[in-house]
Amino acid sequence: MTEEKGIDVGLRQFIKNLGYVAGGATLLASAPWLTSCTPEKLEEIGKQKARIGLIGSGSRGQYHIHNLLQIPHAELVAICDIYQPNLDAALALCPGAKTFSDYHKLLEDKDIDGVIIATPLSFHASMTLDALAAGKHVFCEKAMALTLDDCKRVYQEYQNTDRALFYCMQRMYDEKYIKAMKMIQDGLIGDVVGMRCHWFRNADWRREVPSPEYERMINWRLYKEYSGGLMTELGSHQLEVCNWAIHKMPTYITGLGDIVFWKDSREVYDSVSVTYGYADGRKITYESLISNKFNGMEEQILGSMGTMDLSRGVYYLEDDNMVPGMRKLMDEIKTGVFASIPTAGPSWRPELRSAYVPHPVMEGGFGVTSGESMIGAVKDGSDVILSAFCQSCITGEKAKDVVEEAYCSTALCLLGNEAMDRKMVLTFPDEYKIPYMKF
Amino acid sequence: MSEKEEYWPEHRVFHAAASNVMGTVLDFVVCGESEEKVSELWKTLYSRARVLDSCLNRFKPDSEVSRFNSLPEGAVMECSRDLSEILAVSLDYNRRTGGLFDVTKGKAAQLSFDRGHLISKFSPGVSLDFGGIAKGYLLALVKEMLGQGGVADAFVNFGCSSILAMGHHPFGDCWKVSPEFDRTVEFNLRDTSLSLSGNQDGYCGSIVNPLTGERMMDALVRVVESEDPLEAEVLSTVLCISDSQSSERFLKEFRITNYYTYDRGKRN
Repeated sequence: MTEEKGIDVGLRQFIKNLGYVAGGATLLASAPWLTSCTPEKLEEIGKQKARIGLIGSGSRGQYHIHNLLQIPHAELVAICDIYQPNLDAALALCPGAKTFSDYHKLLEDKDIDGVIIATPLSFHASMTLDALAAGKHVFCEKAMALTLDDCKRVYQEYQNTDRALFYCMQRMYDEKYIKAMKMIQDGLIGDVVGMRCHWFRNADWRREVPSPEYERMINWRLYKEYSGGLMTELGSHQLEVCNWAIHKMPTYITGLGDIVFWKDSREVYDSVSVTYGYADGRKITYESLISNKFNGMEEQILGSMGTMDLSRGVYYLEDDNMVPGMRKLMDEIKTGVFASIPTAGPSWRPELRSAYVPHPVMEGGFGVTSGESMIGAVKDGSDVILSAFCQSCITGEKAKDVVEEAYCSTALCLLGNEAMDRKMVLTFPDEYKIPYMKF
Repeated sequence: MSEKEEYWPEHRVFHAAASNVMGTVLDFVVCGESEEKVSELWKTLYSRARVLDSCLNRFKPDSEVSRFNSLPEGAVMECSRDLSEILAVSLDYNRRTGGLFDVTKGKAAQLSFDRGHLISKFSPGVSLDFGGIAKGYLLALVKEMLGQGGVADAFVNFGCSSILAMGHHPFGDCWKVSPEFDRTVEFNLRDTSLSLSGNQDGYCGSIVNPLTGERMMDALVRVVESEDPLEAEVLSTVLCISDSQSSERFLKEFRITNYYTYDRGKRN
């Protein structure tokens, strides 16, 4: 492919679409992490390429390979996996890459600038620390770690390194989320009074295994030794946007978790319901279930004047301004049509309105994912954040707040799991607070 | 009250809306002007609308009208310039319509108003309701403001029942408006205003003859077009309750451009 197409062009356009002006601060107020990947900085790197090593070449790792192949300033030079079929599948996508079965060996390779870690959660912390120690820039899948102690360890190490560290919190690089957050912070929906997120699927979360000894390796998401279950795999994204929306952290955490339907020797819950309470009384209501998909995936920021549905990229107003006929008039003007406005009536009574009207956050088409895929969706920000990481591998510039946001959301996931396990109301522990957090 | 603004540079069209202005929605469309200019005009209008709402909205317990309505007999209240002005205009229409237009619902005689901002009532049952004139009053202010601002083309929709059309649509020679209840009918509006009054399905009896106390229950919708939004607003209500002889007289004496009645969308 040529350098005139692909993710770089998309990234440049995406940032310009957000109203970015060189030297301006408007965009940066709602998404400061974008300062590391502005169009000017992308120009500066010229034709340089980040040499990337991939650790973990399962389905998510291969998803990243597909995105990497579209990034002009990236080159996948090495792949590591302990499971040969995954290594073979990844190599088929990128035949020139070196292969490893021991990630330590990959980290010793001086030709590698940065690594992507797409392994089970339990390995995230140790591999990230090893990679940083080896002088590599790191792009790690969410969540940050399986324990709060490991999160703290990584966070502290990050304070002492000059290497860039990204977590794949792709919503932070999704245009519709960024625009929606700016609208929230500009007061479109009034005071944020609560948040409501859910992720429903109807699938057992299992993958086929060639023989029983591979069960825990391949179906690692089902076992507590490797995984935080629904909270870390799904909830981490959604809790991150709650923190982003109001720049505050909850003080209290409580919830119930159960294995309701998939009673197949798994250890993690297949049904979770967690409530996060803020000091001022606001709450996040979080729910996830994988035996019914009727409600799909949603992240709703509830305001005194409206509701922002982040995952769908639409908002609804409590007192909708758009009276009958006016939307038609405005749409017709946009398309050059002159027609009658069906609006006149003896009076308009708002109490008769039977449904909220969705207003798109952005003009034109944009990606909306159902949340059903276990691997990743097209245009959900994963490609853009990966491109930004590759840019950082060349420039060495860290992305502001990405690690902090990952730390905050992971902490909430892990505390949610603890609250469910202990059937208690927990208070956010002081020892895991970081200066970024505001309560 | 909330507001929303949008501007399309390609057609130089600005749209803004405010909800909960006197219990309904105010939509404001201006064409052919810069965003900066029209945004400023909208801010002024929005601010004015908020002030009027806090003065005239009888459903807000702390509005000026609500405070007057809850006064005991004999108490005197100093009223704002806005309340004083609209009350003076309303009492003038009361006189000109022989009492058919009445913001006191037939008790104007028990009201003391010296036009010097002092108002009192002789009986505790006297209350004010500007529902039959407030929208026209605000539209008249909008018309004046846009005229002073040099705006030629604008469409202002106040709760669907009160419409001000200045100049023309960006792709037409006027503004075409249809009733919601009969979209086969079109009003071609240019530098004029339209007011509609009457009952709706399932919502009857809100218009009362102040002289007899009789509720208007027919299915006719009165549509009045006038260059003056105030005249249109007042007359559309008055014509709901006036007899044919009085109606004929009002149509001659007031500045009415067109008058229609509809029964299930049938123009008479």
